[in-house]
Amino acid sequence: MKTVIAELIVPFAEVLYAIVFSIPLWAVRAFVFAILAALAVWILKMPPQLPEADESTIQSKLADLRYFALAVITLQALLYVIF
Amino acid sequence: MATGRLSGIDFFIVIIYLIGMIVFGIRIGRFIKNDRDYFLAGKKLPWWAIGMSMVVSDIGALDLVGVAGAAYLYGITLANFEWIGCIPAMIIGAFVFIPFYWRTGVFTIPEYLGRRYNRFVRTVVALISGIFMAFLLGIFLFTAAKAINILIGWPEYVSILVVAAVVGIYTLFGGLTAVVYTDAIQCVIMFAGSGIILITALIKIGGWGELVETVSSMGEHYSHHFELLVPVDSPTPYGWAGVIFGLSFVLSPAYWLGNQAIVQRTLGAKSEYEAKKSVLWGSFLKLFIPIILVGPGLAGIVLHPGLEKSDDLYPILIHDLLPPGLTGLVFAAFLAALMSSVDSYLNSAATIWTKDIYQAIFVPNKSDRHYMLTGKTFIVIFLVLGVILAPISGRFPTIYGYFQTVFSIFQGPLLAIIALGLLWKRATGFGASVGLVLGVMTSSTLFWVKDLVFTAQEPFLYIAWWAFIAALLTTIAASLVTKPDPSIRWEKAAAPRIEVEE
Repeated sequence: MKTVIAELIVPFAEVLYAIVFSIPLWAVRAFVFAILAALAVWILKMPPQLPEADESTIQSKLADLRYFALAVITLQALLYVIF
Repeated sequence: MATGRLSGIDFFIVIIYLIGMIVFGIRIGRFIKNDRDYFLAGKKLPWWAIGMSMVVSDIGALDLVGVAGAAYLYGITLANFEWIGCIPAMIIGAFVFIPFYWRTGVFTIPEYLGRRYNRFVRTVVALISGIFMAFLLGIFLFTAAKAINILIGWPEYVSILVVAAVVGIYTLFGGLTAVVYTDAIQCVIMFAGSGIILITALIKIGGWGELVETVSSMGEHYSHHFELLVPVDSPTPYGWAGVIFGLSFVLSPAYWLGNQAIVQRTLGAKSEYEAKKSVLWGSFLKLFIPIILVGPGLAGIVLHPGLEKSDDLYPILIHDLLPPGLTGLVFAAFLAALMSSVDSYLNSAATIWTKDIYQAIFVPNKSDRHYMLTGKTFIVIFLVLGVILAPISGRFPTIYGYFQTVFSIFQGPLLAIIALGLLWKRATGFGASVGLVLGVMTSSTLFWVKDLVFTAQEPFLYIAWWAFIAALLTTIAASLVTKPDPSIRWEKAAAPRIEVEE
């Protein structure tokens, strides 16, 4: 039974392995940066993420969590540039 | 095997630290009145403590030792587990999933799934998570004892009893509040202790530049040691395909968005804003985790080349690099790392068994105080069970890895139904039930035939990916052939929102 199931999957797996092996590493790195860029764009398009009105009387722009998230993504991208 | 011994000053530091944790937990316990205080810290937790608690809970009993050892063998690619394998999922969680969980006021992830889908999904997820967490405690205690034995030579039964007693007392008395605040303290100690090892090692080597130059010149085996993304056919289990698809797209989101032990503390945040902020703060701290976990492993290549057992590296570094006093601090950091995982799983296992199994199935409509006491009873039961199971799990050397692999079978399907439940109004209870079952069947089958299908030695990252895809497609298909649930009200706002009723 185990062999039968494996034989059904293996041809499909071999095609996938061939695809994966053919992808150059620079394309993978580009894909990682694309993920981070997409995340940053999504965050920028969100409305400001500020505290509820009664939590803080001063609604500083620095309290907007979108900037915090963008800083983390930028640092993350920087690490993938370095390594 | 390298072992060290604690000097008088080291023992003093460790004992003060352990007593401090116990006293802190007992004092917090005086403010707990009901199950909401106990399981959700009365929804009063600050963002900074939650973020630190999330991060330190993720660093398990053997991670300090194991990750340094793995980095010694495979290089900086291990950092993917903390960077691309955590940060995108945490950011998406912060803005989409966590605020939603917080608003619904649920205690557990299975409770959310029960409200969104049906009782079958809630019960299956609760049983699998509850059983896994309860058994994992025994394994955590054993791996902790094993690591303490490697580090300082304590007999394993002594370590098991000491860790179980300390964690048990502060978790039992202080509930989630004690868990989160002690974790925050433990986070500081862990960063300080591990940072000291790395800095001392780098000073001895001559700096980061010297480290990179020396390792890179050590031959072909080290050619990818400073590359985060490595080819699929490189001599590591962490080729890019598994890292991107299995880790970043499935296991990491499933862990950060669907693991009760991680999510529960965000449910105790003071406000929705603080819940979001806590996860973003955690993602910021995650940027530094590889520095303290992977860094010592890389430094070890230069300081101690050719080790037979890479897991011996961390204790060797402590033994060789640190003077008395600092050894005690680093050992306290090690205890902090392991206790923060044990307390989180202990508290979350008790929450799931109390709210999703005991209250939901067997004994509904009792007072809040009754469920709080039930939770405390479960903590004692799981702790005793953990102490009994710990030496037994030690007789099966591969049990920890096996358990993790078995749980990864469940992670992909869980993520599929959680995400569809939140992001797709049309997902139905029947669809999720079928998706969950078929997803688990897919991953179980792949796990069964893995030797004949996968080239990777431990293909859990790939299995998780395909189980996720299977569960996703099945849930969508089965939902489309069933009628939508009229009780789901959909509201599209900054992030997708739905309101669900009991």
